[in-house]
Amino acid sequence: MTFDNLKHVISEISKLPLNEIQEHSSFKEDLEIDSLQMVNLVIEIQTRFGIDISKIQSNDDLVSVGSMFTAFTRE
Amino acid sequence: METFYDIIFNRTDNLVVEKEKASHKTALSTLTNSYTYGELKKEIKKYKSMLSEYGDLTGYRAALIIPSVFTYTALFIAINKLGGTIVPISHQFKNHDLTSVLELTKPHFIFTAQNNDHTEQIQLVKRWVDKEGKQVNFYFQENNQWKLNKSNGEKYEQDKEKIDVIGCSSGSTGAPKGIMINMNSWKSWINQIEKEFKLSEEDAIFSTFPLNSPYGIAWLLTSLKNGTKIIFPESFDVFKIINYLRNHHCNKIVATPSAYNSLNLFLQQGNRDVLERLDRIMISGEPVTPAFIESLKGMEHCMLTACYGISEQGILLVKKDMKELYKSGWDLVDGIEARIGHDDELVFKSPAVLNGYYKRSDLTKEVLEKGWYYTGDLGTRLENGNIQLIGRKKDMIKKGGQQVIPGEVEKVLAKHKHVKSVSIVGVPHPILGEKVVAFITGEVLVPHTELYNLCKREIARYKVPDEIYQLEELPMNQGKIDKLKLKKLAANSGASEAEQ
Repeated sequence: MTFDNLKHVISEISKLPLNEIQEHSSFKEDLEIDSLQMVNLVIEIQTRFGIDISKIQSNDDLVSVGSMFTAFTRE
Repeated sequence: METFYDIIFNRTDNLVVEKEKASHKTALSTLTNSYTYGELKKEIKKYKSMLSEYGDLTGYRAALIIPSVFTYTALFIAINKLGGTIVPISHQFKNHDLTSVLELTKPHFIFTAQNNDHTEQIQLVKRWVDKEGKQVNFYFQENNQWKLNKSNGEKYEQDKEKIDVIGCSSGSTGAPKGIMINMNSWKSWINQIEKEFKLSEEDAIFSTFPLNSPYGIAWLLTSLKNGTKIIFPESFDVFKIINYLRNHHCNKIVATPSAYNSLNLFLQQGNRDVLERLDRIMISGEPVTPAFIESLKGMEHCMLTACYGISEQGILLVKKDMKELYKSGWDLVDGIEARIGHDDELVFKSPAVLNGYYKRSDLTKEVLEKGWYYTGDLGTRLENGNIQLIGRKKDMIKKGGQQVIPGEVEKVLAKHKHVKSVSIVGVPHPILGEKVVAFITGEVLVPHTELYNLCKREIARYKVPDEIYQLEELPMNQGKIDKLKLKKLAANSGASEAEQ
């Protein structure tokens, strides 16, 4: 999964245009993604890219777009 | 007149529990804090004294738009002790849904605090109060201090009859309904929970139901009465909840299928120990599907109970062992009578019945007849006398345990200058239960960003459509919009004729 792939999925779920989704964007404050939508997003990423959700280890992984990307792409 | 305070703190039938409440027993917890009965009593006293200048509050309505569980609970009990009517309002509401509830209930008092999830609740309320030009005592919390903004103007009319709580939900046309629930009904709600779930003082219950919903309130009151520990997260944050469950003792969960599903997905990944510690899961608020029951495999050590209820009548049906639901149907809760009305509509008689819809005697007459309430849900009587639910007559959407009324979202989308017609439907979704799908028509292609932004400004986030499709025209059947066809179209992710 590339960073662009991730941005596309987030854009679909948050209903925000791609250019508003940045590495530093916070899910809660900037993108207004609530918790249930967050679960939805994580499951969508798992289904679409076959990434195991156990890669998400804590809440800190879900703070911003960048932190989520780092979590999902860690070895 | 009996009050919630009496129910919680002046029990004469169980002095052991009362004695324990006097010590440092925990009354209420959130993911970050715990509060003892002593602290709760002190906080109630603080609000009673803050409001003492107004004297007896009977007939006065107080809106609570409070994200903090502790503040909300203390204010709720204090206002009721002073005789006032409580109007709990979701702190997730925004411009459109918030003002329509305020317009219906016309509160003499409004209490709110800065919301931690972004919404400028204080500003929204201030604008509404200014626009109304009536006498409203508007209390708002800033930096943990209460401030009062008293507006001048004519006084709203007081209610002549005593109303304990007005629970607000969006009506089927999008205009809100105020469900009046009085003390006798609350006592029946509490009684139903006590009987069906047999709470003990050793229990620690985790509830995902919001405290502005009658079901959430009923659990709060029942736990406080019985000295049971109850935890209400102030936001549904899956990882924080899992962390909490991992580090604290919790043996029971009260949740909707979608909330439980979300937790379960992550609990299954290396947090099985949390699941092993549970001894009961109590599910309600959304249809319990065979797929959901299937997802509870591996939880045989735990009692899995489902219940069906409505804000207007309390808990009506229960299935102690959820796995049996599709074999033997729902059992009636003690004290409930049921019949199948015209067109298979379920009609119940319950001691926890509402007193009526606030200022809408016409609506009350439509659904309440000699104590029998017409639910709008469809069901059938099985051979063993039990009931099976088969669907809904009304087209309400249940998304993540919250109600979304198509009419309300339709009204907001119709405000866009290029939207000619609009229809909202609910479509099954594996995580959310149902998702909200909008179909619009317009002479020009309407940019979806504009529609999403409009919705985000006007209504709570969970009501914002998950998908929007623009059609050339909406399908019609016998002069009505063919919602069934739209549902099919949405389920197929928008066939070729729809443009997303």
